[in-house]
Amino acid sequence: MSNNVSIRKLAVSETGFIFDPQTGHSYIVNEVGIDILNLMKKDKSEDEIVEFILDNYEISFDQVKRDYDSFLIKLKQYELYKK
Amino acid sequence: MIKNDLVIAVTGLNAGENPQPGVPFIRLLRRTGFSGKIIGLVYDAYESGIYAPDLADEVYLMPYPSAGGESILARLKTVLQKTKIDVLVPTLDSELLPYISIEERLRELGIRMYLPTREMFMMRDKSRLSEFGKKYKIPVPDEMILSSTKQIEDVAEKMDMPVMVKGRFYEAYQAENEEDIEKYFEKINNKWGLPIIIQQFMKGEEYNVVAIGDGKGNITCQIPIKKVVVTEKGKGFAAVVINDLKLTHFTQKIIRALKWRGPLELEILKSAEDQKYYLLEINPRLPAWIALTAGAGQNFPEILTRLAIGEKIKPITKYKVGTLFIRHNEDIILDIGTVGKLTATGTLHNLRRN
Repeated sequence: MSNNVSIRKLAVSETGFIFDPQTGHSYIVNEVGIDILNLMKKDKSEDEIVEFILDNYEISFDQVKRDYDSFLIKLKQYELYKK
Repeated sequence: MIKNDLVIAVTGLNAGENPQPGVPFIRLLRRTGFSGKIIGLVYDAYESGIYAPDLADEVYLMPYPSAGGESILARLKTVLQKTKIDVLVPTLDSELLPYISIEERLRELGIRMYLPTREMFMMRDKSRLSEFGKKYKIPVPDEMILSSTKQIEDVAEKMDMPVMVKGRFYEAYQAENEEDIEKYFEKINNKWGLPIIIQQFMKGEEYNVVAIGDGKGNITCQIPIKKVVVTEKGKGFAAVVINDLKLTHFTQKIIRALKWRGPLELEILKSAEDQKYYLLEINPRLPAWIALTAGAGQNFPEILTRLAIGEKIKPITKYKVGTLFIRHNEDIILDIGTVGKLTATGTLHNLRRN
């Protein structure tokens, strides 16, 4: 997920309001979404992100993987993430 | 900083359903600390900005632009008997050709403007967009120019539906079939005349850029935006400042080709099909949303006024991405006698003290 320019450009506020300065589009994400995006902006790997979520939220490994994958699908749909 | 002994005249003071740039232009000049005289040149006593508090000092009724440059010049000569004017800023599409035609004579009278030449202005005419795009390798949607309803059959043969039906100066409608084209052809023709421009409808995201060109192909300042709330008539009632390098380069290419002098607003589409930018329209004046320029760190009215009086300004490239405007209309309460006075005498004075 490194070199993902679109993600790095996103302005992520602590309230979960996301602004894409290139397209002018905006989105809302929840608390976990904020963490994932901030970690992606720092070029953290999928394993590192999953580990962070497991350490900070009461959730099973399988659930994190499922949620993470569906979050990535959403990002791809909005053309914010390419891989 | 603009010297307070300058007298600045501005047109386009309507701020209602179809807002014009004059009101925000004056507000932004005032925001710089300018306390000199500002004159509103209006066409109708019901232009709402005339009566907005702390805006223009004086207003004068003007002949409509369709009366031509000579009529405007004659009226300005009578205005000059009452007040000097150092800088004049026409803000409406339909005013530009008449004002361009009298620019030299206004200069002789001490009135300076910062406008394109007639040649620049005609190069960007909506009816010549295809020619312009081809000449300078700037992608534009396919286009047909109609001067009669008989040509509508050709449109159906040569273009895919839907198409955009546009007037030369104002208005644009999306047509789904030949009947729609005929309906909008008549509607626009009755109001604005011929030709009618048919532009291929393209799916994608629309962006706008406001810029001021220096007449040599350089950009003095530019702000790109994405409209986030659009009215039924396509007017942006909320927009956010963005930053896209490709869009900046696209803008530079257009202004270099035109060697544009003065302000303009570009309407640009990012095609959903190929993700490329297409030029939809070049509006030869400031947009109604110029207040956003000052919010983003570039006060376009101040820059334009300084350029008009001959100051050299280095290109300004920084602006605050993420700055948003939301349009907010308010009612102005006044005695009808004030409107009557303007209608009867053609002028109102001491407005800021009222």
